[in-house]
Amino acid sequence: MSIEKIYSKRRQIRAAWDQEKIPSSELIHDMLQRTMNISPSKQNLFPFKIHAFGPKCKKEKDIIGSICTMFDTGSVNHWDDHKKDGQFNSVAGDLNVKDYVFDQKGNDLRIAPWVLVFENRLAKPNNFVKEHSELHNDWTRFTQVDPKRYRESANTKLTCIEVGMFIQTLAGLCLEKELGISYIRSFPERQWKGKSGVYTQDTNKVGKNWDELPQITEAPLMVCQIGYVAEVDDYFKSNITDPNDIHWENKPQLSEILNLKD
Amino acid sequence: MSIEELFSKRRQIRAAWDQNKVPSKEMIYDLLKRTQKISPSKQNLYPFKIHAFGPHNHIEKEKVAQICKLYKTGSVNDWDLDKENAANRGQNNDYKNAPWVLVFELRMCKANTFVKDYSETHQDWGRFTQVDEKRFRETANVKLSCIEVGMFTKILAGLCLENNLAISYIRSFPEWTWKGQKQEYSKNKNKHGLDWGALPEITEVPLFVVQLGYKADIEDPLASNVCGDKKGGDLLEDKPSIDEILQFKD
Repeated sequence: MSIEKIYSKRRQIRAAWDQEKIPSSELIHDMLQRTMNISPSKQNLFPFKIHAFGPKCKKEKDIIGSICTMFDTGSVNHWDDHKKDGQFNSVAGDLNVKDYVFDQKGNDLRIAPWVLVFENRLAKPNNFVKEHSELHNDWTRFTQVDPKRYRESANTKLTCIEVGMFIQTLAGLCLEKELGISYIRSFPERQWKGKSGVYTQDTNKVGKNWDELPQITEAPLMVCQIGYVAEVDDYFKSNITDPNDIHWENKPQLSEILNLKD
Repeated sequence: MSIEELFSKRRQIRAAWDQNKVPSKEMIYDLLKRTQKISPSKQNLYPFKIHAFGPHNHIEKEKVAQICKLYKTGSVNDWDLDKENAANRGQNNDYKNAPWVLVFELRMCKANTFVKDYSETHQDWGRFTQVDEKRFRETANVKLSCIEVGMFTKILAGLCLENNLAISYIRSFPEWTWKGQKQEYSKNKNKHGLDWGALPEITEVPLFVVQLGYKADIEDPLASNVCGDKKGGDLLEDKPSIDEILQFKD
């Protein structure tokens, strides 16, 4: 299947994760290994870490859900509206989230079987880095391996680009196996303050941040959800093609983002 | 061809760009259009802009090279050491010059229908920082943009590889960092080469540089070594094991 056909299949899943058919631990591990084999990284250092929480990690996934979806730029699927008995306002009027997010057995279709959290990481020098540094007697060039500099803004930008590439490769492998994959980048930020040598961090609407998950010790960069897609209509899904849909997220024209000179 | 087979074909090209067989403007435009069609972006806003410099833009591409390759963390292909030889060969024959160079920079987006409707319904105009002229340069939005540029580039890479085009990545260049209190970018200086100010098209923080073209039928003398079996002595860029970057709980 062509790249275009594979990636055209992807949809952002918000309330349609299959709660019965669950990807195995072996499948997810194998896909991450294969993704790493073919993903690019500057000097192959991979300056990020992945925390993969599976079907049995309900507690951790619930914490991640409450960190992300209750952030002030999150909650498109109205995770927090249970406090108001599910009532919420929408362009279509007053609705109740409970009418849209449960399967027949009462399972919440917003809970993905697998949740991946990507965070910044101090990389270890590989052969190339060691030899190049020795050859040029320059130990400051590769900031990814420098304990004093790997959290700097330039390295975080590099890491984010590489995480984006890694995830897009993983997405291709998921889609080949009929798995859904969704992305979340609405959560409290950790920002490195070099002068004071600490992270400052935001909290969300209910006062939570990444401290709730002690595994996460660096700046979280991205959250991914993986699972099979249930055969239901995902009410909260984005719509990129139908101008009459209430969730129509129309793309800009290419000319708006491209300046092409030959 | 499977995703795995396709992406396995990619190599970082450093000195093997074909100078005779050059991708057309129409082809590059078509690849970018198809990439945008299938690449994801939060609320479909695409908070970045692409400057694509083609085969006739020698001046601009030379500037990009001087910005990137002479920077202190760049120059893996010893671009600065080989200027004389390159000149003797004639600029068009230097295998280090990619036919197409793409510079990705941050962009303030225009609100689309969803963003307008949502903001009005909830009377909340501060939520989508990508469209907020006071906030789009903030760190969180720059991180988001970088991730989306990475995703966009990976799809573009797939489409290139399907068309037997090579694609290389550069992220060694002088940084711009937004200083919110002063409302200005602090800009790193390039000791030996040029700064982004040399390219007036670039007005926001540059995020990534990508090179495109056909690979010449020669061995790239500066190719990275990612699969050699010798440990040490051959500048082997060995990857960490998956367990080093993965904490797995099922």
